[in-house]
Amino acid sequence: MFGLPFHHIFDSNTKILGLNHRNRLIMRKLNPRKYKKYADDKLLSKKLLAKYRIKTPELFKIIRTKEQIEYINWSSLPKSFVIKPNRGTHGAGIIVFYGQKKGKLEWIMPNMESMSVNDIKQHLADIIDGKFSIDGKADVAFFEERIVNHKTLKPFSYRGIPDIRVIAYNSIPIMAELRLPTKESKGTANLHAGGIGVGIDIASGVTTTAIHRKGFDMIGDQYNEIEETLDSPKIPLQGIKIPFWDKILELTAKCQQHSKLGFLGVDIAIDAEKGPLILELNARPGLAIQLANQEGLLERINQVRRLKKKSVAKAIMIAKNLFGGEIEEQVESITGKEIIGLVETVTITPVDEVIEALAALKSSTKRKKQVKIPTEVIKAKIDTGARKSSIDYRLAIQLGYKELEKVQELFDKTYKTSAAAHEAMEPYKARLSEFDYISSFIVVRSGNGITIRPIIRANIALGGIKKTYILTVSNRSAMIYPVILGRKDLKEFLIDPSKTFTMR
Amino acid sequence: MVIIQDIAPIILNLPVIVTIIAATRYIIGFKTWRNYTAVTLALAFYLIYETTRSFWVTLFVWASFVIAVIGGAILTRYAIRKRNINYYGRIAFIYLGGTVLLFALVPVLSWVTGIPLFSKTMIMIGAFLIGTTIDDLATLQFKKDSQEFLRRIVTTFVLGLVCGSILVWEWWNNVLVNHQEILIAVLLANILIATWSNIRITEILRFKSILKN
Repeated sequence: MFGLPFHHIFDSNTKILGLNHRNRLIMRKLNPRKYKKYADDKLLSKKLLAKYRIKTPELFKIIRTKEQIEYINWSSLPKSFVIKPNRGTHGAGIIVFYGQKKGKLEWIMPNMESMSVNDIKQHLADIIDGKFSIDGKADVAFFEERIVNHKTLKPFSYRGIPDIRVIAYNSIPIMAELRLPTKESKGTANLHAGGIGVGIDIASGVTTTAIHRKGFDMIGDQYNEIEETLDSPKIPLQGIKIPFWDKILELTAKCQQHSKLGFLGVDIAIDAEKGPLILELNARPGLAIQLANQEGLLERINQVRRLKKKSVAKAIMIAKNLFGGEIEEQVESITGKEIIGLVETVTITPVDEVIEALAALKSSTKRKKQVKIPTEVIKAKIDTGARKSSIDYRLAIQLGYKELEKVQELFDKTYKTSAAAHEAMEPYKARLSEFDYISSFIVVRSGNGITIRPIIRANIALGGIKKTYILTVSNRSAMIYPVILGRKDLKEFLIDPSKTFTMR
Repeated sequence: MVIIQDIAPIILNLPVIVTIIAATRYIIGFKTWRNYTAVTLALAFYLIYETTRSFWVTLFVWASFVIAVIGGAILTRYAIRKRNINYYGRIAFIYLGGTVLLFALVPVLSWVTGIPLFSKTMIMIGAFLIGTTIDDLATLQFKKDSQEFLRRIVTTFVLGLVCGSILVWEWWNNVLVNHQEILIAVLLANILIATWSNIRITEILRFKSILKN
């Protein structure tokens, strides 16, 4: 039934948080009306959070009546700002202005359309009339600072500000989602409008599954899993490390404790200068976050339901221990790639030609069979800034690449120009037939200067992957690591810059 | 003077209709846009049926009126979207657009059905009731995105039809009038729906991928 075995359907009541359970059993009990106002009223939220020194975007102006609209000094407005209805819901009525047209009183929105003073006045009047308010009643409009996108999230966002929704229950952050604006959503981070939702691992703050709304469906908003951003350039969405992650969790726990709402969605944006800022509190958080994380909220709620109230630090620790830690396996299973850090231990062995050459040096057949394969276990730098992989010539010689002794003079010589290096390389290239396992020579410009490097092949085992690498040989005596692995050889891996020695 | 022959079934059916609307929302997962709209559409269906006494003619006339109202509201909203008009002014315009289209449709429907609709008071009252739902339609357009708007319209239309069909179902009306204790069953159903916390059927489909994992 529904393409699911029966027991899965029964499981749904213990795993997935549905609207009925959320509204009747959670919100009614945990979000009493007297505290819901802190979420429904954005200005009241700001006041409450300011009391506890929790940062929100700066407030410029409040417009309470239509008469006040006529007294706005439009010339004094900053070039970029945001207009919001105080009691709006689902992002309705929020307009972000990115800049002002030169010499005109017109402001530009993320979809590159502009609004004149009259247009903005009309919008303010609509807000005051209650067009966007949660209960249809008259509302208040306010002007707020526009957040400047943090550099980590900027490449993934189409002209808008991404935000992070964290859901907290019983003071514990239980699930989180990154919401990215797209061209389809006209620069808003609204999933209903076509934005992208990306699940976040609570422990590490690294993104997991990404979803985007499918076409129309009578059942409700349905989502496809996607791997890359929708607008060019296409960038993978898994593995994004959210900046200030611990601070975000801390802010979420604090917001819940101070608002006294037992089940709360906290929307946070990261400003390039100010760091995480609370955009708004949500007493009725939506449930699509479960799809972005591919996990049920109810299962997590049940795990923390009976825990006693904790300090913020303890709450975060519980959240990380209970709900995190599997990100790497998830990302590996999604992408088929192993996750490695910036420095890894690798095992290097020579290729067959080198072993045969070493065996040839032994005088008897019996001794040939007893050739011990040189093996080195060393620390290698994972260098995505380098295109090719490289090995120190002394290590290579230790591994049996004796031919390198014939060209040892190359490792101490640098050239002033590429042309000079190429000219000097010609005689070596002419001698290639003399070598069994030096396959070529190459001119390389690096931090050491312009050098000529031999190219060899070696077998390197990194994690579960053993393969033959093409390495340039150089003098790495001044470097910390005798081997670097470059981009060309790292296609099977995802690099987590916060880690080292993930592979044992 | 307008006389509705069977007041009792209408009144007795009201809790039945609203229970069906509630069950559709909380158990199945399809939301209408407020109870009033679906109930009003159902009553309009009943009034039109009282004149035509044919289910299919009623369905044709009723559906045409509803589509005219929806179409008029959407077209008017689209036409005035770039104008600097106050919010309630917009709703008034949308009312005007929906009503004009509804009114313009009446002679067409009269010609098609062979019934002089203008002279049939009950049908006109039915049309009037359908017209009053424009207010909900207008605010629905402003408050919800286009997909959710479409979903709610479809659900409201279908439920209005289902509930209207119940109102005109003679066998059921006889049973209800003669066995009013059925309302106790309706009460029990209401208690069940009111305390229903299980996942909705549409949510099982929506979250299928999580359950499969």
